[in-house]
Amino acid sequence: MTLLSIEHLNSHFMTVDGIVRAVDDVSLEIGENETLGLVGESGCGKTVLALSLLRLLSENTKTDGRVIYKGRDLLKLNEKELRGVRGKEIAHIFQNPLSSLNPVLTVGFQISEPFLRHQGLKKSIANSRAVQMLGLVRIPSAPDRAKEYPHEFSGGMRQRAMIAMGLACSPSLIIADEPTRGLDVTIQAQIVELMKDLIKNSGASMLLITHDLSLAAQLCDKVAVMYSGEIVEYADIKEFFKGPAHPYARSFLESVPSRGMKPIRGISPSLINPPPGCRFHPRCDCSMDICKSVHPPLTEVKDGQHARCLLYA
Amino acid sequence: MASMRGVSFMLEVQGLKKTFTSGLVSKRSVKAVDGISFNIADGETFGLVGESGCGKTTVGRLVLRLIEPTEGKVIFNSIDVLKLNKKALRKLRPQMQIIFQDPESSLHPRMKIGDIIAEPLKLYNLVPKANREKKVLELIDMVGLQPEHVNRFPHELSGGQSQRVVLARVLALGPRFIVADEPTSSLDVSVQAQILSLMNTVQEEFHFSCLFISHDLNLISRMTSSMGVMYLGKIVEAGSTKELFEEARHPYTRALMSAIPIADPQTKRKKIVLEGEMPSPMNPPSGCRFHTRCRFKEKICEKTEPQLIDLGEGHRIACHLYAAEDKRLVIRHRVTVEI
Repeated sequence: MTLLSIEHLNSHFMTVDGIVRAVDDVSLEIGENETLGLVGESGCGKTVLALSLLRLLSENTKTDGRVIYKGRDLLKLNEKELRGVRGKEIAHIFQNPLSSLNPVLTVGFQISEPFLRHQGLKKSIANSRAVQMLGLVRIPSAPDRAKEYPHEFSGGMRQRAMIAMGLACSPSLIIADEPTRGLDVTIQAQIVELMKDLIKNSGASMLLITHDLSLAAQLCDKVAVMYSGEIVEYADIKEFFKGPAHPYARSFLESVPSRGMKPIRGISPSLINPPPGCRFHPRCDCSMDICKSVHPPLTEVKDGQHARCLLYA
Repeated sequence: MASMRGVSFMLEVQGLKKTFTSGLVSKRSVKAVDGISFNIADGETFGLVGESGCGKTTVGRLVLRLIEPTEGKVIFNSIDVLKLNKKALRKLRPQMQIIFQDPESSLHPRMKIGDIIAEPLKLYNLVPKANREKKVLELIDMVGLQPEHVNRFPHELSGGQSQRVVLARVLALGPRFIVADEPTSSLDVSVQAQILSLMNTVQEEFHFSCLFISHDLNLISRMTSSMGVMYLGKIVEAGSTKELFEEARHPYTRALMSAIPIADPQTKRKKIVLEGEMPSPMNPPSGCRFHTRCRFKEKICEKTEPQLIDLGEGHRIACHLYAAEDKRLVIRHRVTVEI
């Protein structure tokens, strides 16, 4: 069953330098109980895509397309209806917990807010639920810790608090944007184990946004690779790691230190003036003449593995 | 160059310590680096790995005397760096350089790239004025940038390009030793691969030694030939990179090794997930500093601090599970870890 389906989503920023096509005609589906990894390098548009879903972008953004969640188009909801979805049905765990937490409110209060808002619980009950949530994400001596402020938490604990807040109202979909960025490997391992458990126990779906392919390998069922605002590959996680079809996806995987640390030549293209034809052709080792002029569609290469490349068209 | 057992070292660090004190009335002190020794051979890259807050960056700064050590010895190319006066130290600077974590903040925002790279040439008068421009263009080419970058400003460059500029500026001085402090932590993985392979190329060409500081063991295994693992200001295990990756002994090293993320969903590995976090260096645990998170903790670990012992061929370890008796290694307990 499909939980969320994104259809022809565009998110363009109107800037003085021109139109930045951060998300360009993206279609994706996330099934129930499924974790989809959206991977790509900085500036490829993955975070913007995530922010578009709950309409969290600034005024100068033009978003169109459809985001169908449980039969409703999220892009057509009014602010009030949207508030009923945010945090309750779909939770967003942001990058960089320090700037996402309010520095002048206690962590406990911030976790209890969704209970007060969405479930109308009494303050004392909401409070004890917040403490429970902190315990669930394995923060030791949770009742005392709930009374502390974000600056008193370590990086790993702040990330746990963010996860607790996201899971508070048992959402059906969790959007997690780089949940382990900036954490030490040992703490990363703790967070990964925790997220695996929580996802399994709650039955929620997840959209995991990351630049770290090894994180996607550990957590995801499916993976979508984004390059220059477009999805260039979409596949089952195991198929993907056996051998990506798209040349960019292949190079991206080979640039990971444990996979050979082979550099990709050139730099990512500008989102204002992407190269004509295939956007990866200036950096591609398999590029043909036709790649310079024809924009490739996303085509199925083999069972469930899709690539946006003229080699397969 | 100093030599020991026939091996010549570019850098020797002995018993290096740094205590930071803070507070006016009630003085508090942090032993950020607490007695560290290691050697780096000529042309070799030594890796220093550990979690944030373990003191690895401080070590990088101490060996260059960017901050003054509290105690210890740093011998660079037979020169006792800590005994030099300001003038002599300044004369030595071109030979010892550093690449910082964040390339953007290492570049002056109002200077053009060409001027940034020419600055050290000017300061140390290494190249006559007439030839400077040519030298800058040579360096720019060497680090894979285009001649037109000379007239750009740092904000016009990407993170990877900025780090190339930093590298060009460092190479301008022809250093014998470079500290690379997490040089790619702010870069994308494909760009990281570009920068690190560039570093390998120029190291072969310019033949310098390197202290490579990183929290990423994947990078340490690719970039270094020997390494040290730090925990709360101390080296807990050191040796050749190959040996440590094949047969790490210290429980902390083992846990770190098992936490290395693998980019393959098919590979299942038993992870040793360490519980809790690194204790505060303000108030380090008694005895072995790792005992609060160690699975093999014994009574002795809480009371007595383990000394670094030599397992041979430069493999050193500080752990009570291994003890040297009569210069013979006795493994007190068989550590079996399912990896």
